[in-house]
Amino acid sequence: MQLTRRSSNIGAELDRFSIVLALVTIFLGFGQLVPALFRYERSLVIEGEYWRLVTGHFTHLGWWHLLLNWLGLVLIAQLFISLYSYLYWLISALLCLLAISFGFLFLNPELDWYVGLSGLLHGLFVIGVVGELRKGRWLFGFALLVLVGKLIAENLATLPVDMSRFIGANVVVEAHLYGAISGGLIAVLMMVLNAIWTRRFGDNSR
Amino acid sequence: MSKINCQIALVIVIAVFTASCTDVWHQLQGGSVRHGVSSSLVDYLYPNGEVPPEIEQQTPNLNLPLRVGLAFVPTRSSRDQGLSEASKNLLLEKVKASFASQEFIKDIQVIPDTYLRSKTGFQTIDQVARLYGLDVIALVSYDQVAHVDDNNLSILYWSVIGAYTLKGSLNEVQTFVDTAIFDVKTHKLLFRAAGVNSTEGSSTLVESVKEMRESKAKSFSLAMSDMTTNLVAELDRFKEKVKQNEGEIQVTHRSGYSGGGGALDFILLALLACLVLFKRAWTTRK
Repeated sequence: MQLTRRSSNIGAELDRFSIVLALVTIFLGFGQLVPALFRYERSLVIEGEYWRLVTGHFTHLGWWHLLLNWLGLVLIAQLFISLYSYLYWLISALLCLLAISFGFLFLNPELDWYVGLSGLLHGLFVIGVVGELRKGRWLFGFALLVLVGKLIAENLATLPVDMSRFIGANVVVEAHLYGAISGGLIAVLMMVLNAIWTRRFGDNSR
Repeated sequence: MSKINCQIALVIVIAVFTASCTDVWHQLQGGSVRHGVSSSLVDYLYPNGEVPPEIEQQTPNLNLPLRVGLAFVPTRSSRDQGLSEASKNLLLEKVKASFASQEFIKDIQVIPDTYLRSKTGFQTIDQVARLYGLDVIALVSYDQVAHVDDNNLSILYWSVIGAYTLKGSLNEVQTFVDTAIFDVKTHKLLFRAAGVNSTEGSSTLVESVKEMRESKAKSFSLAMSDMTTNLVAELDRFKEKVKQNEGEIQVTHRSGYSGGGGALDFILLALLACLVLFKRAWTTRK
């Protein structure tokens, strides 16, 4: 299992990055076509439509909402994708999605439905920041502080810019909180797993 | 009496009987008469001339998403034969379908007017609202007047054959429906919308009852459609009013309500953009 990235071929990396981003974009667009089938809906999840735990995050309220989150995804990918392997990102993203959805299911029974990628983006951001901090880039510590401040502000009060007007519905700020917490936990968990793996099989084993 | 006289007398007797027959029938159908059926919102909420209480300075608080009740105001008298329960239910379901997709509505409950018939006043509304867990109730009152008039062709109804073949009865139905939306807690009227329809038709004497029944149902349906259209427009105006006069009506959201969700805010986007620029600069310098 290779969790950290070693390749240095920038051209090939850019191609892979573009392909992955294009695939995610197509997936997001597909989710947008039939939102009723994909969005997180508590009652339907309980009735057995478990795919909504994952697909709900890839569905959006409208094209503006989608564009906003897609822009965030591109920036996060630009920033952090080179830190870890694609497998690492895939596993982390999946765990993060499930953590947010189960958070809704158990901690927010009053939340009937949810769509949007931003919870996951918060999680990926924290994972990326932890990776940068491990490399000694302390400026990212400041970014983490800004994120924590923002999460406290939006969960306890309101932010100066009301995004609900922009996307046409209220923002479920709990998604951001669950995303960030799960991102932090996943980053630590993956670090521990990576350390165990390295100790057992050596640095060059796969 | 000669044979010819007997025959003439027989024809006259038959003519008189058949004419009487159609005339009696016609009277039974209610020719040149006015039928009316109505339900009054004011009479229902403030029965026996009750004076509405002083307006309290209570601000309605709409806790979104709303649970809305939809019901016809019962008619004044149980003898009033307006629409059947089934037809009322069908009409209300159509109205419900027009608003069900509104994001700020959690659900719309169609309430049979039998629930409201036992008593009157806001006390009954409160009981039903508690039963259904409603925040807001939409009460539909109506007034329908039907006229049946005869035109010149009706003179031939006496021939019996004319009663079957000639369209000598003119039906005119005028319907007015009005929906008033109340905040259950404060009993305040939030907004209202009306719908009107006038339907005319002609029929033979034999078919006049059926024709009238169909005209009444059709007129009700069209008036309800008109009211639904107006209600949508009024709802938009109400939303604007709420935005502009924030003090008059408070809007809150139930915890977790928003659906929508996950939108990256501009703070995080700006932070990400700054970090990308910093990282590029740092990588280039290295």
